[in-house]
Amino acid sequence: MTFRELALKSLYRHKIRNFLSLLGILSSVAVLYAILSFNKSFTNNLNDELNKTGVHFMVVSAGCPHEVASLVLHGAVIPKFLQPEIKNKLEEKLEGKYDILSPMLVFQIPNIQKQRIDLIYGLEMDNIKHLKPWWKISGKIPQNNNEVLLGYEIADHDKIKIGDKYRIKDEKDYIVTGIIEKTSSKDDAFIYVPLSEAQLISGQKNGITAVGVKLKKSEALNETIDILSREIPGIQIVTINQILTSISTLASGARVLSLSVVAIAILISTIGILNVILMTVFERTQELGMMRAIGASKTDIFRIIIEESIILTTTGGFLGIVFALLLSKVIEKFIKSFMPYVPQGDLVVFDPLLGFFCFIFAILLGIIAGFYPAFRATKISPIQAIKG
Amino acid sequence: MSLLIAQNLTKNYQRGIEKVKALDNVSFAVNRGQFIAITGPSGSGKTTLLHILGCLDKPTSGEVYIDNKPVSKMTEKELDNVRRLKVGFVFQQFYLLPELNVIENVKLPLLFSGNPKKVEEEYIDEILNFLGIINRKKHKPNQLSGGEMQRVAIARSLVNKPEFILADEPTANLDTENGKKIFELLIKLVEKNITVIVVTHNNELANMAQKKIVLKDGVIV
Repeated sequence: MTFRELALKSLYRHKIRNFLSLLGILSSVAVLYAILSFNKSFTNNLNDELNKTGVHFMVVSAGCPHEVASLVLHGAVIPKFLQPEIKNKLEEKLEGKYDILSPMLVFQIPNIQKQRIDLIYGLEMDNIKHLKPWWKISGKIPQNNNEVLLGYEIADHDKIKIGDKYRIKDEKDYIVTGIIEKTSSKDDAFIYVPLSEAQLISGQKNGITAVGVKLKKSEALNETIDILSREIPGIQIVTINQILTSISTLASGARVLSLSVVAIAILISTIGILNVILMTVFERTQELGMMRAIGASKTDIFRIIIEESIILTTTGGFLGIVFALLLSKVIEKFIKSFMPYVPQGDLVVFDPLLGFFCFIFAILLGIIAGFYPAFRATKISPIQAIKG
Repeated sequence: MSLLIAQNLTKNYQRGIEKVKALDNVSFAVNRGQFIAITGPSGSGKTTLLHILGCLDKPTSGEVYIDNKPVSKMTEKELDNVRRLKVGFVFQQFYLLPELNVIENVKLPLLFSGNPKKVEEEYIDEILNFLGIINRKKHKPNQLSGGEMQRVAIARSLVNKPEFILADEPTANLDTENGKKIFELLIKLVEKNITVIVVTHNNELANMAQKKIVLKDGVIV
């Protein structure tokens, strides 16, 4: 028999009590793994997503809050429109220097028939493949002003198929030519229409909320921004890096909140383990005293108790990681519900390094939770214990 | 040469404001292979004496010598080693671990000692056979009678091949017949050249020992 086997058998004595403590650690480590995995994937996926857009910067109206401007690519509704001549000025100043110059108009419109607000995203349809290259579209991208492309959520909710009609503003029916496959992001909730049609629907002739620009030479970015800022009044330029920083900052609040919740959960479950192990030590005073009498050293006693604590936390930790992976979709959905923006792709994924970290963390928790009870156990006097 | 020498042992306790003298100038020697019974009325200091002999407690004054080595000069580690390898303890209340079966309970001291004497399964079977519990190897303590549990406790005390066994009221929780059987087993251990020191308040059983130490108010009478 080994110390580990002895510790395991001792834990088996109070199955329910120890199982409940294990559940506490399981939940805490599951949430810890999920949050860390989410945070890591969030940054990576956001980077990927922004890099894939192929846009170097966004031009929005001056005075627009920076955070909102950063989200414009992802469908933020900006109340301020760019002046109609801005697009022409940009084309003029950037002549021969750009690959993409994509104006867009994002706005909300009431849908009285369905008792909700429709989110309309107007853009030049040819630019979709540059701005959202990760989209998988069933059907085709609209080519005419009486055609629309629907986000997954809208199509799924209204049970709309390709070829069906979708009525906007209770006035005009549009043919659904394509449906975007699920992205698990805000893109799922939009109705994408050609820019000129979006301008008609919104009543803002030539109205645009932002212009996405990709330069031919990325090294000319800073110089170009300087020129545009100086020569075109009333605009604000947000680079992809600034967007990345702003979105990360926006999300950081939620991340800090979630990590705080995890920290509290871990603290509570650690105290729970400490309490259970300490209770065990008190209950087994005579038994531990007997062990001392038959030759167990203080180190042996310490080891037995600390092993029990570590077994509880590592088992809970391992199962917690498995649990987090099994329920990754549910956890993801829950976390996304309080994040201002979430990039596309799986966010709670298997990551060996992260799993290893969580496992080591669980061992550390076991040592921390078991240290005091183990120390107390070494102080048991064999005579007092045997006398009862 | 004596295996164990108790020299002028005195043990005082403080009980509230009252000073209690549990042992008063107790001296005796135990030779290898002897069967000693320590007897006397409750509170006479029998168990205190046993604990001091087993290095579980320290005397207020006086000295215990094991193999001529003074116990008071031993380090914590040396004391652990004495308890592991030289002494086998048998308690009144058995103290078997309920989740371990008989064989696992018997082998428990080997876990702490690291089995330096290379005790093998055959030897353990020999002990269990000798104690008449070989067919109960895989049973848990709750499946055993009181007498069987005490036999398991004796087997556990023997597993490290100790030089002497210290038994504290080993028959107190047993009926007369089982108590007598346990004593007979202890006598058989002596025949195998193991020294046995047993504390009992049962005079009839104490008379079966080779030497009887009678304590009264901490003094040998």
